[in-house]
Amino acid sequence: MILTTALALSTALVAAPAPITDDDAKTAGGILKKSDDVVSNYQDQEFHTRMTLKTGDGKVEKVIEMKIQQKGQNKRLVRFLKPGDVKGLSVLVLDPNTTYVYLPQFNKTRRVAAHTSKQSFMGTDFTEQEMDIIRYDEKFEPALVKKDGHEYVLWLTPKKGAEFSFAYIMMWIDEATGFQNKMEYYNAENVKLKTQSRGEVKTLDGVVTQTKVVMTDHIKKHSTEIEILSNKENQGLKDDLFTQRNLEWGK
Amino acid sequence: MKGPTPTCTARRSSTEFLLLRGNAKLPTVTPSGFGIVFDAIRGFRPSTGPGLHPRLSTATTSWFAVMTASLLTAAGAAHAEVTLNHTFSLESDLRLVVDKNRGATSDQLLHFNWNRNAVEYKVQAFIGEDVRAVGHLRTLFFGIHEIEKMNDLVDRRQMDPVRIDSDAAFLEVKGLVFDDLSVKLGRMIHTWGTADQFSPTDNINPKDFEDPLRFGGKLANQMAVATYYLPWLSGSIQAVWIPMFRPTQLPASSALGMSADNVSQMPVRDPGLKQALIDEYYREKGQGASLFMDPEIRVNMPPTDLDNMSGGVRTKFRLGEYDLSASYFRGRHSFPVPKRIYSYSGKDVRTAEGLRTEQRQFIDLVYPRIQVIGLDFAASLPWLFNLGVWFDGAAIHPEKVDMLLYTTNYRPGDPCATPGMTGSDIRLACSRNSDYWYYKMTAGFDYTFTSWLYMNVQYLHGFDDEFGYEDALDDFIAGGVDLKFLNDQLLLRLFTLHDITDGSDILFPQFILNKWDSTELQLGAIFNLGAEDTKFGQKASGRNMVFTKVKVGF
Repeated sequence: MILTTALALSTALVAAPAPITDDDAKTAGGILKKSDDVVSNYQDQEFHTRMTLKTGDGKVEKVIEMKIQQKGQNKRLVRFLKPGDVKGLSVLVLDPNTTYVYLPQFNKTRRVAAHTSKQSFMGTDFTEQEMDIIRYDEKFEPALVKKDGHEYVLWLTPKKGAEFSFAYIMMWIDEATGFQNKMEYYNAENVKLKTQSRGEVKTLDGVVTQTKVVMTDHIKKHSTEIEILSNKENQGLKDDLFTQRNLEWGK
Repeated sequence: MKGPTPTCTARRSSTEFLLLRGNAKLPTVTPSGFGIVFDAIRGFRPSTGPGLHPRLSTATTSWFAVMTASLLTAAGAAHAEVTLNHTFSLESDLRLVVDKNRGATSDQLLHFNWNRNAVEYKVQAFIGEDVRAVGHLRTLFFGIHEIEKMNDLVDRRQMDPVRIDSDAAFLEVKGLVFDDLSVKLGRMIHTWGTADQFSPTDNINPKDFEDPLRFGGKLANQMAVATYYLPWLSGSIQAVWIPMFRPTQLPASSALGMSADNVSQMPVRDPGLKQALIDEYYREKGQGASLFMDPEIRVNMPPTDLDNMSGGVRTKFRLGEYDLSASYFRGRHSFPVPKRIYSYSGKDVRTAEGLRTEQRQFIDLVYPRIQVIGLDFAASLPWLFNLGVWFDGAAIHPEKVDMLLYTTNYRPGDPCATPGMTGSDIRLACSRNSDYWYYKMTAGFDYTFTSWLYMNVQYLHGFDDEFGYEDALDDFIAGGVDLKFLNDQLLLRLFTLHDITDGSDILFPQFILNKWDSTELQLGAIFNLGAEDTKFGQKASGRNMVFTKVKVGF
């Protein structure tokens, strides 16, 4: 479901940096694995994020704010704070096939099926596939194109059996931090479809973090910007946070 | 003959039906209520309300006050930090009737019959970690005046009608006595069941059919809900206690189902009784001697005594991919059911056609007791394209209600007739729903084909208003699709509710524009199609309308 996987992307931003070592850099796979380790290196997280949708000329269309708590790779609780028409809506993900939505208008918790992952999410520029990728080394074969200053440039092609709406990704990985700074998505005709840029490194709650990602759709002339407003990691979030009881509690 | 059909637009305010299945768009309306505001409006008079026994009502209120105080004390929340969460919303709604023949008279083509502007406020107060108070207030401004006589012109209430209501004014405490126990007390809407809008196991709150476009809306009621959570089962056991019965609000059009001109559509489902009623009507009319008056309808509300409390229990748990629940409810059918129909010849009246005898009818409506055993489940099926499926079924055991037609006109041969008697209490015909079980169910699925195409389909056996006889329950298909355009900013929603039994339909197309933050513009229509004696074709199901609606939430 888009709601859930969207948050995987936000999650990818809040990661502690670690340099790519010479050992890591011996192979493209080593570079990508180290970078993926940086991105997914947490036990639990709690963060506040803002998504801003913009037209091609930079005009803001919509602002979406969420508070997200998650534990491990699967359990996730999302509370929508903005815009007003979705305020109060909450989503609980227990595993890829088990998602509940609390609808405050009906005082009702609803099981939602996994097919909803095909739905677009409030007009953002992320597809389900793009947001569903937490570890790139699990779904792509990397090849080192070059080292561009302080960045490694990798060429990622989908592994056999993995199907994507693009043909390949060019990825820029920061040598010093392991952060994935930029990704460009191309079709088979080498036309650049989208660009994802990550940056604005800040220290949030003691963790050095990329706090901003911008996905630009070059075809639609539209962009979505995600900002991490606050972040806490490894607080020891309890399992009972990820229950229907807490989902309905609303705080 | 069909029952007093709520205008079954089969859907709530536009966005809700698909939202229930996880769609992105949301209704702006937020439920809730502030008891203190009502007290202020009433000048702090005892709020017993019409029809309530003051002594009992006061006692009940006091009981709740004591319980609430006890809960707060038990939770130790007296000095806890309070966090407030506010929600505001506005909604403006204008509707134009486009039919000619579905109203009380047939000369009102193209007129506005609905203009409602709602301002809502909801607040959640989190008191410490374990106490939550929720209040909601909705103020409704009606743009259509209620002026009927000279004096109304100086009465602002008639010139500019306003109403206040509330969906919530309750307190919830977590960890009361046991860590896994939660208790809610107060005025609230509480939901059971898994089906979208048409849940036969969801009998906790009465329905609200005032607005034909908000099908499935509910009225808040006073209750206590205790839930003991079972983490190892991903489930819970829940008990609900409702001290006072509250009936479903019927749509304005429901009265048309009980007019003299619509005798064939009166809410009498039993074929024998219905035929007797029609025969009675036409026999008198055929003689050219009678002047038929609209029936006088009397509602027999259950008293607010201890004997009329309702409640139930429900257990919910996870089994593999399935979320299952089983429930038991004991209460009353919240739709009125005709119990007695009296048909009398009254005085002679001189009319343009000559001297006529008034033919008067009195109908007594009751709310029969019911017991409901419910089973429901919901699942996402990974082995079937991740299809979402659900089932919601209820076995209902009704109180025996003798539906009787009394008349001054004895008709021999009817099995219920009292041979040899004359006078006003001769039972002409009868039917009775025996105290046997009958069943209602809803089964549905939904699926997302592409990022811009979603579908939701449900099969229904039995409708909200249908009661008492297996052969009185119709079968329905409720289906709809969502088509998104312009980067999700424009939604075309097409919904239909088809009565398989009699072939009538409701069509409900809508365009919903969500271009700006928190704002929604709607343009839509609702059409009731079918013969005059069908579920959705009869006048009681409401007018054919086009509407515009604006929603803002912040």
